[in-house]
Amino acid sequence: MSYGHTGNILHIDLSSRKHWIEHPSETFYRTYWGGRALALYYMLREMKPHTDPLSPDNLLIFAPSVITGTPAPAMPRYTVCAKSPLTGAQGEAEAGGWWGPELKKAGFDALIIKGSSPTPIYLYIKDGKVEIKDATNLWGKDTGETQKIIKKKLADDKIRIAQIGPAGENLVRFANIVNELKHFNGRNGLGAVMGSKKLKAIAVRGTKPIELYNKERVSQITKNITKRVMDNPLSRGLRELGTPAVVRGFYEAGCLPSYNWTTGYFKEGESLTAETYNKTILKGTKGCYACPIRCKRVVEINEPGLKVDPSYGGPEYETIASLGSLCGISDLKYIAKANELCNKYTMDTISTGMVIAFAMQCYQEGILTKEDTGGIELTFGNKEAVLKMIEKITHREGLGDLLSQGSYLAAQKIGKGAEKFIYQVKGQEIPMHDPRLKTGVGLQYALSDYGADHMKAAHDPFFKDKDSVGIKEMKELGILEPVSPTDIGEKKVALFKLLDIYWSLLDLLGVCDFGYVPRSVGTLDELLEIIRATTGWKTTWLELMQLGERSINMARIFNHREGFTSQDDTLPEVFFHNFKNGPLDGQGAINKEDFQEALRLRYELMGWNPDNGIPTPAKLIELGLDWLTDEVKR
Amino acid sequence: MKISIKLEGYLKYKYSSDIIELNYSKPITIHQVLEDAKISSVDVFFIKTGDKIVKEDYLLVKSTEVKLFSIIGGG
Repeated sequence: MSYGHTGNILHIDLSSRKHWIEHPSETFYRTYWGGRALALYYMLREMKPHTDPLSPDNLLIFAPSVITGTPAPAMPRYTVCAKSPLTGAQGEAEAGGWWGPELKKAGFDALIIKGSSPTPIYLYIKDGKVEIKDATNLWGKDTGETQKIIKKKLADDKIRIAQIGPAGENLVRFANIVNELKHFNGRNGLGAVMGSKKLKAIAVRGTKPIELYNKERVSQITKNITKRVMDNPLSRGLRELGTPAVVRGFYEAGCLPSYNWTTGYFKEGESLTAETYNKTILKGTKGCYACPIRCKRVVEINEPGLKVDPSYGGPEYETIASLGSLCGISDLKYIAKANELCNKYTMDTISTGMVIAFAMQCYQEGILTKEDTGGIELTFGNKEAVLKMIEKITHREGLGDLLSQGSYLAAQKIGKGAEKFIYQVKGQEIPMHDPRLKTGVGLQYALSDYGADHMKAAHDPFFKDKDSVGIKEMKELGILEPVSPTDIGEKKVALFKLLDIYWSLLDLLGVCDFGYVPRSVGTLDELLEIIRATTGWKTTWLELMQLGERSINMARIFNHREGFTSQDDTLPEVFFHNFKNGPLDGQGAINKEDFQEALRLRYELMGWNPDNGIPTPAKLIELGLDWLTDEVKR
Repeated sequence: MKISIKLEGYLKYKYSSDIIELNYSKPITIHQVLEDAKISSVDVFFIKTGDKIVKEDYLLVKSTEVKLFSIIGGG
């Protein structure tokens, strides 16, 4: 008897409309567990190098993990992987919500899709059965309409739907996949991969319970964590202020990304704070499957000419900065509207804000003209222009078509020096946390296998003091000494090697970092106990950390095969210069030589060749990836 | 002189207050003020007074407001 997992992996070929079920061994599950580790196993074995990401040959993999669906706090997440059309690298995105647990209840541990359909379709998976259904009538519809129609057609309101909106259908290279209208597999453009396969949605419904090895133990730990969540100030902060709590600190310090990263000083920042948000647009909060934190915002606006539907949630910090201060916008209501549009069209809000801010700077510099913008006055602060550009990008009209390719490709096509105004790593636009104040985050931006991402490790401040939660609570992982957030020396590099591995582990297991240390109250012991009580496996942190490291190396090999080199592990030039204006004016530059040294040391600590960043055969053998050693010997 | 400590983010939940006020008769470092107010610097990412970001060794010489911003993670 298997616990935590079903033993079934569903393969679907949309070209032949055939499906089959694979029953891997327990050793397979114990080696890859789920998420990107499981997905990369198939991507590395079944996908040829240099596959066009928008061709039928790309694999699109939906992978919860062996613990997804256990009724413990903050474990609802699942991963989607494919080769990314935005970066050309391994693409990966995790989402919360309910879809992952529902797929498990429907009888599957993962869903591996290849091929493409000639006409729009959607999948209906219920209790082990699979149907391919016509979606011609859904193509072109936004996510809210699509969800309503599918639920009505299948006469079941409890169905959970992962889907794309028009941005995914139109192959916008930063299109997302969404479940329950507000939980996103964001970044990387995996929604465009789904669109290229003419796959509009995947509706799942499961009535089978997920078998747990020790249900009582899971229940007991859940009660303990939930009680502490309710009492803990950090968790209360997440519930009452959500991620927008970040705005105030950044704006008052002068490091809130503004005007396309030309400054961190945004003088209208007060109007973007969590306190303003709560007073003006917040309607309530929501959570994910089995999670007591309820950090998700829900907003509603009912004003003449400006309505925002609460079904689509509300802007998180990243969205407030990217579609707000970065574009010179200080009106939260318009940011909420921009967020709603991106959500219903399934477009990544970070990349959307970044490409619009990039275009605004090109317009300011005279590189783009009113003729290029189709008559739009694309100036910083023009909130109507932001809404119009979102429509144009979604439908790939005029300048929107160019921007739909992402800022890296758009800048290359525009030329005239436009590339000076993009901020990306491996082709993915950087998120809204400035690495000049958190150098470990900068290391992770540079090293991330799927392009710059702020969720590649815990952030530096949690490890700044001997009494910090990251130091007090994570000694089992070898994290013993504090390091200053702005340090970029050996101790920081060693710390972030461990954090990269730990975070990769949380991601592939589908564990939300808002539930466990250092970001929240669940301890390492409790997390380990939940994993053991769910699976029945007497696992240890040694095995789990090796699993996280295995997934990092698999991703590194995938990218190596695609032609990525250590030259792609970099940071935008702006971070090697001081802040301009505001309280941090003239401070903050990361020393470029120190950063290069840090990267080299990190390669060595990872067991990679320090000259080129490629995993050594010995490291691959250590991690049970001997089947990949030929890839690094070529 | 009166030092008003303004707590931001989750700090206001941790210390069950938005503002803590303390009085001093001579210049004092922020480090000492935090100690007197029983606020752990573990949770503090930025300290701001006036329009400056300062460190704990900053000497306060007149009545002022000191803003404390909680540590910031991803999300």
